[in-house]
Amino acid sequence: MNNILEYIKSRCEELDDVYFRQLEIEGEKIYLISSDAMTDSNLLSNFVIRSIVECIKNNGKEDEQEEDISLEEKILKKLGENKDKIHFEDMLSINKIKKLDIDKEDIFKYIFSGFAIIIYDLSVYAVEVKASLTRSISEPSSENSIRGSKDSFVENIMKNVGLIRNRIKSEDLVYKEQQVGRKTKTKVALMYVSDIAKKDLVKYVENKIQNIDIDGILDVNYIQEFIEEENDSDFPISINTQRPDIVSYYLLQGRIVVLVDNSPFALILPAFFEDHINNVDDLYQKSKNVTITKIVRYISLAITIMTPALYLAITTFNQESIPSQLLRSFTAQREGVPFPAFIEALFMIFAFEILKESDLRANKVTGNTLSIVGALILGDAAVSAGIVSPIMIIVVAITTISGLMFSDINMLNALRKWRIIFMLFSSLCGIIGIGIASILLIISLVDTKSYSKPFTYPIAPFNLTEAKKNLFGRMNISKDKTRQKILTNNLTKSR
Amino acid sequence: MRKYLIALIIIVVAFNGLQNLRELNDLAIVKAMGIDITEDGTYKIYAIVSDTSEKESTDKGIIYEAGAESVQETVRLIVDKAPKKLYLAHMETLILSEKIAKEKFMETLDFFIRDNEGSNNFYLFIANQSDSKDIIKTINEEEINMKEMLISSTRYRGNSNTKTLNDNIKDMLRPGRDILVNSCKIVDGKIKIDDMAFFKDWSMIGFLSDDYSIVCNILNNNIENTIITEGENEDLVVSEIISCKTDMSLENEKDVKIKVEVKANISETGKNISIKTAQDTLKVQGILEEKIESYIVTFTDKLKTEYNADLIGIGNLLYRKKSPLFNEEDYLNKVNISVEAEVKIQNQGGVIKKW
Repeated sequence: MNNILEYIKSRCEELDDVYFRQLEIEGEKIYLISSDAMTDSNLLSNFVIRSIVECIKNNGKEDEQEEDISLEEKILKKLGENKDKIHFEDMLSINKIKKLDIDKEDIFKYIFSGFAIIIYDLSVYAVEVKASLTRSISEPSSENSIRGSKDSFVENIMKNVGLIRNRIKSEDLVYKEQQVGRKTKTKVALMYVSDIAKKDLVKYVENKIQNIDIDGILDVNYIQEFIEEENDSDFPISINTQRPDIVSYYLLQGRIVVLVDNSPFALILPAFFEDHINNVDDLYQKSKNVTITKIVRYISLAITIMTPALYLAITTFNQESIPSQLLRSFTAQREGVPFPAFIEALFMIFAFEILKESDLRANKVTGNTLSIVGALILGDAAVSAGIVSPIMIIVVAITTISGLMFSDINMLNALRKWRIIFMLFSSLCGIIGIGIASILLIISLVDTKSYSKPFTYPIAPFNLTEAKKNLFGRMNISKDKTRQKILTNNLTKSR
Repeated sequence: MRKYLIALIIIVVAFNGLQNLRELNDLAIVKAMGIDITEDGTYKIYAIVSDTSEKESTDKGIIYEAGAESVQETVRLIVDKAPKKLYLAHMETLILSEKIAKEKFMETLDFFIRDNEGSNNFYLFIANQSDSKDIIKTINEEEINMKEMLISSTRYRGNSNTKTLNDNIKDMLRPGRDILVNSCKIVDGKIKIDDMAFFKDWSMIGFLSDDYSIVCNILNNNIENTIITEGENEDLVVSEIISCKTDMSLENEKDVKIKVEVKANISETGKNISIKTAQDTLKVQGILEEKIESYIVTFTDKLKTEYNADLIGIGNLLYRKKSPLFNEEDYLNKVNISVEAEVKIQNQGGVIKKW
């Protein structure tokens, strides 16, 4: 017993948050070790210490005449069981108690996971007295939902799993947990619906996660980088979401979800290009009217990639292609602007990017000031000073606003990159440049594979049934009876 | 290696375009241009360049003028006076003096047709009874948009057409067809779209009179909307044509049959005209049919005798139907033209609404 204690003490010399307590009751020594930060002292004192003390006291009253027998024997006697079967845990009214095998298991993992270690005689027990270190469930901050549920994931993996289980109450929903990270020992969980998801993909992801050897996993993106290491596309081939309803929707399609403890985001894979454009929220609206919403989205996708490029092309190369009145108005606005249109556009786009980035990073108090100073005053002043033309502000503004329709930050970054590529080409050869850049974009998209599935599905390879269902509208849920063949072998959704 | 090669190809293709790079600030956008020719054959060019120096663009531009032996040279000479190079792709109006139209029509237009920057989508006008210079000055002073004027005049009156230079050239190149070009005139310091000028063999002969412009447009299927008046005082019938379809067909080599289908509304009538019953309507329809037929007959007679130009494309019809008559010099005089008009009155203009 002293060996274990000495070992723990030696490792804890510089850990002032680890708390030792020695209970000495009737000559028997019980040691209690826990981390102050991770444990709920209420639980510890009310349920663990009190239970032990009371148990022993009770024993003492009953067995006053047999004072020479040891504490464990007293307990044994009280429970009336064989010594081989005795568990320390039966004494305590705590849910999770484990007898540790000190040769194999890492005591410190338990200490820092919120367990109290009880050392008695030669046995070591871990008793869960975890403090609740997570915030409560709140509305999603990075994704908005008009009609959908308003809960969102938190930093506690079990709460997140609970939010999903709350929606899919089936034993087919598999939850497989692994521990990743030599130092962080983070819980990484894989969830899928066993009779829908494809086994090979599950196996692939599982293996990938098993083979991760890194000191720490701090966010779900760490896992994403590992399992997508072969992918060098600009576009995200998996979905990050905060919303359990989205996760459940995709789980039922046969996709796989990766959850990481301490990350309020779930990773859904595989994802297609269409998934980034379309929103699960469409399912909560009348299906007939979704068509226009979807068309607006496709148009704004084109706008956010192409508008600055198109503006450059028509004002520096293809002036003949716009109405005379418009050209005259453009020319009048550009009068006195000292820079070429390309430089002007780059300048404005970078100004907006700076504004966006600092707005994201700034705290909420300064953020408001930033928007006012940045957007209103700076934009207006730049125009009056003649550095940029008003039309350029309009172009960049509509580009940025259209881009914000896509909530995934990875998608936004990809779109931003392609916006600049388009601008570069259009500033070199006008409309033809936009054509070249479009071809490059299509090549890049078609070349992308999302976990060996084509990223541009259902457009290329074209799938008529799927396109009808989702591309330019949404099929009525009652009529949509099949799942996507590309994601599952279990096609029947409803009868 | 392959990556670099692809990059190289893209760069070569892309940079190739750089020679066409022009910033908006470098353009002097020409709105309208007028060309005169002096007695000794030198061109005088007047160009209205949009004034974009103000933040809000105004319709009033700056007129630059120059003179030289050729159109290209003259246009280039303007660079000495204007700070930027003239940009012709957005020119909407080109005004030619009567003298140019009669003597050097194609030679003058040659520059515009060949210019790779120009779009040839501008409207051509012949200056009637005045120089192009005066018309250009009036257009600029009064801030007139000739394009809009022409479009509304064609749409609601029918005495002009909205053919651009390209359309006119296409017409000119068709066998057995002579062209009509719009004209404009200064009346009391304002611009008026006037009777069309007619051409034969690519040079101008003269101007049609007002009614004949409309008839000519009816026969060329160019009418959207116009007014036809018949009778006077008590017998007056004014009708608004709301649709007009003309069909020209050739029967046995020399008989040209013109069939005009007209839908019209009654807009005004005199005391004696009654349109209460179906018979009355038929009667009014008959009056209008007669009027249209007589118009067309007199016009075709005039074509044969006075104008001597094939403005309605009879030669083209003969050519398409492979009639041997096409090869003869004065085929116009040899064909027999019969006219049939069919008028349907859609709306008599009753007080009681029928629906």
